[in-house]
Amino acid sequence: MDFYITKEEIVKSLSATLGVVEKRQTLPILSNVLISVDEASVKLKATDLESEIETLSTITNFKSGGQTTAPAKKLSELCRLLPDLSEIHVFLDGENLKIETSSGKYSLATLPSADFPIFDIEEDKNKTSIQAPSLKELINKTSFAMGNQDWRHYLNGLYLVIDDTKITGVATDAHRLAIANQMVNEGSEETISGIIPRKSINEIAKIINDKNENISLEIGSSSISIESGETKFSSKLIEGKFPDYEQVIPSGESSELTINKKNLSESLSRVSVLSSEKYRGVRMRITDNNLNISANNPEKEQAEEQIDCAYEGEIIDIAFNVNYLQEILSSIDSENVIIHFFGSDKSCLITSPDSENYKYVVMPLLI
Amino acid sequence: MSLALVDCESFYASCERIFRPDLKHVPIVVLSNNDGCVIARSTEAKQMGIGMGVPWFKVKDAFLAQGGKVFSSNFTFYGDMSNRVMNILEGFVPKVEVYSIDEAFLELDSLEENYNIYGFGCHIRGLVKQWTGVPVRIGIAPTKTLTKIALNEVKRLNIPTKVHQITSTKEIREALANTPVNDVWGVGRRLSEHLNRAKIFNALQLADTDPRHIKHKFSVVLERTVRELRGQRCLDIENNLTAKKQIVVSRSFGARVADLKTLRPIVSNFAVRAAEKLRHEKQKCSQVSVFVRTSPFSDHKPQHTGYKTIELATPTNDTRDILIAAKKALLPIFRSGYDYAKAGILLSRFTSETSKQYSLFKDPNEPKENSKFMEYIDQLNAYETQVYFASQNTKRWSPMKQNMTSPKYTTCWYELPVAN
Repeated sequence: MDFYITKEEIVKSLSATLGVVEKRQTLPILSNVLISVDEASVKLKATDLESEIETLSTITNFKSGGQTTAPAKKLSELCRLLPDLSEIHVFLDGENLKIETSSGKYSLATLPSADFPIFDIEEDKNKTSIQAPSLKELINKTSFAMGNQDWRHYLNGLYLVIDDTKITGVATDAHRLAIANQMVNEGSEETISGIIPRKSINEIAKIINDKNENISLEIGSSSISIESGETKFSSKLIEGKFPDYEQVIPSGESSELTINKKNLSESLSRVSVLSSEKYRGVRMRITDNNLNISANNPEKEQAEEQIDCAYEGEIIDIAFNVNYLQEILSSIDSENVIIHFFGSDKSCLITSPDSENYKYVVMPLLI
Repeated sequence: MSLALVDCESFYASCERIFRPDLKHVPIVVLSNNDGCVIARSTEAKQMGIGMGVPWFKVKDAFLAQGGKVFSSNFTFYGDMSNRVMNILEGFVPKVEVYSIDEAFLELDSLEENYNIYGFGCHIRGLVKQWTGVPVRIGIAPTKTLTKIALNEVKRLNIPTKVHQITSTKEIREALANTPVNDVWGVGRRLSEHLNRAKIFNALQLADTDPRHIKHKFSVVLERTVRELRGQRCLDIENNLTAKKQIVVSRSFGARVADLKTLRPIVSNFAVRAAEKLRHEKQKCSQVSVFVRTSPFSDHKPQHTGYKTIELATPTNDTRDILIAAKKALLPIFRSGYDYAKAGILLSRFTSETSKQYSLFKDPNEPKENSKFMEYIDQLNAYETQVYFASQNTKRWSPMKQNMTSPKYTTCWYELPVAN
């Protein structure tokens, strides 16, 4: 293996792989990146056995091909710190990977490429494509509600459903639920679904750029692959049945609060300073076009604010974990938000007056 | 600015004497669960050279030959006597922190204007002794750490009133100079070894070290100790409402348990007790863990340790839910062919009884949550277990070997002391 590549080209690829490389790996080789070189390009591959990322970079000069594995973090750090626009000479010298620039020489330990784990990807997958901004929005609007190390493992990911040309993303930690809809480019004859693990969703979000390009999406029964430009990412899906989310979206007659999102969010931030650290509870009491937000804590400190709002319905006194409300408000783009109340011990529905593409359900807190 | 530390003298041994005046001046020792080690000694037993924590079998013959009296631990009785002592303290002082079963900190700041604090201490000591029979020692000083030093001085100086106050700089420095650094509250054996290497051997040398240096070299915790030794109050009296983070009920068995049929009712008994404690704390738990282990001292026998945690979707403090979870946790960790020597249950991830985050999805094993029902059970079992759950051992069987327990004089109708 012997080739030349620019600093910018290799740093871009290495950065993309770092998220997948395990920080606390069980097998030493999992902290390495697999480097494969042919006449035109260098392919970098990293895996944590649950997911795999593959990037392709153009080389500037090819001398000989081959494969090896080198520590991803050290290689990335080293290349990142090299002077901008440097041309890097990379070659294997025995069991060491040599990096040379006009001003320095570095030698990294390698592990045999034959030991690098092969990530099993099923061949028979349903294929479609989606515009990058649509997929990015789908993830941004929902991923915050995913479970985190929940014992119900199927909640620790984003549930994707493709029905004809509609793609729906659903995330829930059982206390709040986020749903977003977008369109895919090619419709699917059958409904495709799968739960993508939390870590993989975070990686996919990093890979997608803001350019209006097509992202190829392949979902099988146990894995998902996406391809964006020169990067391909594959992940196993979470086994298990995602809860029937449609059943928990409240419907029927409700009391409706329309309020300026910024005012509500700022008020919640101030009041929540004096909420209990454990429950982060804020109480909302809504009467005729007036929203009273209050909080207190075990130290007997209190906060209270009033905000003007438009409200239709019965007087309601309800409490929420303020973090749940704030995360939802952050993901809504419109100036106002609508909160539909169905009772002080029942879930509420939060929507945007400008878009029907996303909605949120939050369960209240008893304090 | 004064705090006091009230310490019950040789508490367990003193409790055993309350209803046994014939044992006055008789050496007394109290043994740990399963009558394994000495965990409490009267002054007379200490004078005989009985060490703390020594295995009972090693000193048994010599101790009994010299007329000593031995008791298995009777925690129901000690706990009740402790409550009585603490209630008296709370009746006289507005802020009391019950630090352990036999120790409490008192905040005396608000009393300083109207009372002579030393006289007040002597008065309290007299009342506790008169009303409960429990002898106490009291150390009075400006900070919590110094009250411990004052208490040590009661012993060192053999103060007859058993109350000692250190207020002036001279008194404090003299007491500190006579206190080895490893006797300072919060300084353990390993830390004192580090301090010794830094040429700090007594509390005065520690107090005279720059606190910023101590923070840099050791920790903010030790810096706090240094400041407290200098008379700066860093640790306030904590109210006893600070919620517990976990509850553990575990016991070593007197006889080894090798079959599930015997082990399950034992674990159920632990679960019932843990659930009672949880309700007493006004908390609910989301995690129930069970552990079992063989004896590490039985080298020649196969060893096994099992630990399993069950997560609950909805927090609960209902005994029935905790029993179900305990069974679920025990079954996969039990292995036949092993002689288990200890088991226990651990409740954790607490939430307040009055707060609840509602869930979007119904759990098929939704907790039963009938607080009234559990309240009635708790009332019925308040002093003597009358209502058992089906999986419990209903016989008065204890996994522990305790052959020398005194009666539950104050908590059981059938064991009331009889006056002839």
